[in-house]
Amino acid sequence: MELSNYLIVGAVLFAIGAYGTITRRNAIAVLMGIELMLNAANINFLAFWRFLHPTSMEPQVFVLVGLTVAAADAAIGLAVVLNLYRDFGAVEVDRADTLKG
Amino acid sequence: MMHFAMQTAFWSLAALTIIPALCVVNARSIVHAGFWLLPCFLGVAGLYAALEAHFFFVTQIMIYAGAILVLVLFALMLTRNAMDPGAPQHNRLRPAAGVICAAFGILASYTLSHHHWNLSTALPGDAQTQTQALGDALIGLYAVPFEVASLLLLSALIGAVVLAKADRGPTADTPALADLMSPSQPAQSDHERIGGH
Amino acid sequence: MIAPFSALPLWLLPLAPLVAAVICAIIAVSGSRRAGKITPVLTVFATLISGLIAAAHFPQGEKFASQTYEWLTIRSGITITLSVHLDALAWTMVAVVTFVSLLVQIYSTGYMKGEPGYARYFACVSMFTCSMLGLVLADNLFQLYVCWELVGICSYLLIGFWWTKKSAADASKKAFIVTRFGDVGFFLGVLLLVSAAGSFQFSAVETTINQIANGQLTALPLFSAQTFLVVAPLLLFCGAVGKSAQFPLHVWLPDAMEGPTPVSALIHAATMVAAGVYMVARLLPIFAASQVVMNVVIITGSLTALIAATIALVQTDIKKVMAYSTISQLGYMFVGLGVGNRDAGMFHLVTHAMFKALLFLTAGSVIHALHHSAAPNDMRLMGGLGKRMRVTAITCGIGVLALAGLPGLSGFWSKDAILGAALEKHTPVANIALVVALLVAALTAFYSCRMWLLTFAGEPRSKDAEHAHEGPASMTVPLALLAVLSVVLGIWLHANGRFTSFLAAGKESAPEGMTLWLVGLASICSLAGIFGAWLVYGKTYSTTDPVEKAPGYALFVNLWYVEAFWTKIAARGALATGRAVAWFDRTVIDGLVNVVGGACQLLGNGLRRSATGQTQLYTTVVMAGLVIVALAVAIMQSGGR
Repeated sequence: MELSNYLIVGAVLFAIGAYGTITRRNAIAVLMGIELMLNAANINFLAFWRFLHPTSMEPQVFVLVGLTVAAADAAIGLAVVLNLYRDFGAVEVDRADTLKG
Repeated sequence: MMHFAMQTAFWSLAALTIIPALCVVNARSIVHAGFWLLPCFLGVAGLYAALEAHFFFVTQIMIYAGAILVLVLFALMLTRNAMDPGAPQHNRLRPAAGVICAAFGILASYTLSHHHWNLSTALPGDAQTQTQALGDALIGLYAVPFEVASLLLLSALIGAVVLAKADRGPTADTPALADLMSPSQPAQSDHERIGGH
Repeated sequence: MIAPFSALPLWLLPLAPLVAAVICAIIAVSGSRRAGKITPVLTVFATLISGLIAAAHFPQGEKFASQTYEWLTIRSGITITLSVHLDALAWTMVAVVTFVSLLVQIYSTGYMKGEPGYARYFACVSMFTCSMLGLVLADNLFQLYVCWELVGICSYLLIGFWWTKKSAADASKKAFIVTRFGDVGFFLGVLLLVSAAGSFQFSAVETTINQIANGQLTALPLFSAQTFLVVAPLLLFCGAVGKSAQFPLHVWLPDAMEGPTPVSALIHAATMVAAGVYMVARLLPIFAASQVVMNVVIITGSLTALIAATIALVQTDIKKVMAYSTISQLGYMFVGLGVGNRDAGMFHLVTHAMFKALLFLTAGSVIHALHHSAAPNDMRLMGGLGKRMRVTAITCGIGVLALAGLPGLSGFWSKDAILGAALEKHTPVANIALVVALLVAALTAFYSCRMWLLTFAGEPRSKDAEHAHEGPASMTVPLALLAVLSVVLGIWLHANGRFTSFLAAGKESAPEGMTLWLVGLASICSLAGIFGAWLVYGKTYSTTDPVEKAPGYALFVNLWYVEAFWTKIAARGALATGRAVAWFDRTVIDGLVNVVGGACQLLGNGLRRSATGQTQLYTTVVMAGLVIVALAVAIMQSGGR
């Protein structure tokens, strides 16, 4: 298929992930949204690799590192959520507004 | 014919990605949302395969569907009664965010599809060639990013352990690290242990 | 013996008292009582240095000592300089200032003994000495004006020495503000002259005035040549009216008696109030260029002399009598200057400094003796002090007779110089001034003898007067010195035209002849006044002062309603204007500022709502921004297509 198709899929998936991050009240659901966004980015990268520079390995290294970072991010994020749960007894993101001005 | 098969494959994979994604962000039950992630990730893996990025097809399944999804489910399990199921799952920003994100999605799609790309006519190698080349690159030219990434993973690992373990001092059930390292020391009461050091 | 002092730098003349003042100020601030005791030593020493340097640089004919220091040059070419210009006229003033200041300081060690603020007093007195010397040693309008203001400040500080007393604080403010009133005119006059002459120097200004009078210079700022010749000197004269307490700005001087008596002697009798006279004397060529201006000076002088003399008649406060007497005598000096005779005016300034300082110091001696009384200044509670305070009584008597113009004493010679000058002028204004001056001479004799008789003669009228006694030697010795001078200085300066030729500085001066019939007439007026006072007050009088039955008493005791005018009309008008301006400032200007602040507050409050602390909101905003960027890209893309 064409490059633009893949890019559209990536864009839509990103939008959905952003919507999930902004809208959900459960912290873990927010992290799910973030994972979706990271996946969308990876799709974009690989699409560009395939249609613009198929013989180069750089984009693939980039994607690999991005994948790694996403995994580490998920791990830490969930550890933080667990801490939040332990200390506040709740995982609603609305409750963490100590930075309120 | 091939083209039609390709098209069908692409559109079904796209649907397999997008529709579960919508379910993830709109599910009433958080556990359902977690499970909807699986077809989404599998769909993405399929898209990678369609893009002939074979290594990533496998890696995506292994890491996302295999590790991250499990991690998410574990976290859901540990925080099971955290939220009142009757409470709304979405905050006040739902309508506004819906509009904004939809606008973004539409605009980005439009922009990206109407851009003129310098498409290359080359073809990527097959799976073995690609993987070998990737392996060569990781050990050779891109060794440093590779090592840094592994460092990142190590620190994430340690960090996660520390975070999950934080704020808990030595109690009778959980002996302090010192005790674990020198088991020959006689057991002491908390008081002495804390005051003595 | 004096010659070695000429080796000292000339600028030390005005600055030695300044150094002493600074040290005394530091001592005063440190609050150390022990160190405070040595402050008079410092100031006396500094004043002595100044006096001796001056003595070493006595002007010989046309040669005199002068040193200039260029301070800065304004781009238009006007240079501001500071100078020590010790010509004959300045030397006269320097002699008077240093001598009187020295005696007053020695006297003050006795008078102010034990006062808190002792060191502060001497610091201020020394500062005053420096400023006054700077004033008389100026050869340019800038330094004159600056030192003019400086002496005003020192006067303010010293009048308000006991500033915790409300009347003293009010009096010091009044003095400063009233003289400031005159100084506005003075400043305008200075600016006018400088812009016409292109320089601050007296010589340049006088040359310019001559050129205008000769018609050589016609391009002048603001005014035509003839108007300029009238306006500029009159504006300068405003300053003299303020500083030398002439009508109508004389109202501050009687109130200034709130200060310590030695201060009154130094500042408000001998020196500061003479600054106005000195300024007119110094700049007389500028004034003389216009007959109108000279007439104004004569009229102001004689009017002031008359009004002040009548008010002095009815005063009951010993210092107030002397204050009004000073105002009156200053009027005399202006009459002398107004008729064109600088030497006569200066002669009277010098002799007046001596006997008026003497009179104030004796009054101080009396007040000091009566300081336990509730009203130590009130003459109605005095009497019979002659027996108890011999030195004070005798010296005061000499001062009174000198003031009255008893033939032979110094006041006689200087008054006659002025009367003679007025006679020689032959203009109607001068003739009227002459008549008024004679009348004032009689009144002066009367009120001064009245003062002496009420204070020293008869029987004590209160308990405190019975227990009065003489002061210490530090107070009586200066009295004696001044008394001697009051007797001999007049004849000594007059003989052989010594003073006139000194001031003429080597140029030809017409010898002074005394018109005998005028001398006789003046003497008769003085003697009449003395005799009249003896008649009325020689014997003990009954409870009411006979003066109260004099015609015009109400007018005199109400100070000719000048005070009332200033307080009720001028001051109220100024306060009303102030209130209006304050309203404008509060409502409009402050309001504007408050609006700005309020707007900021509103904006801040509004923006505050966006800082909810909820990350998801922030993310929404980021996404919205992203949408805008995508929109922009889309538009650019389709536009480019």
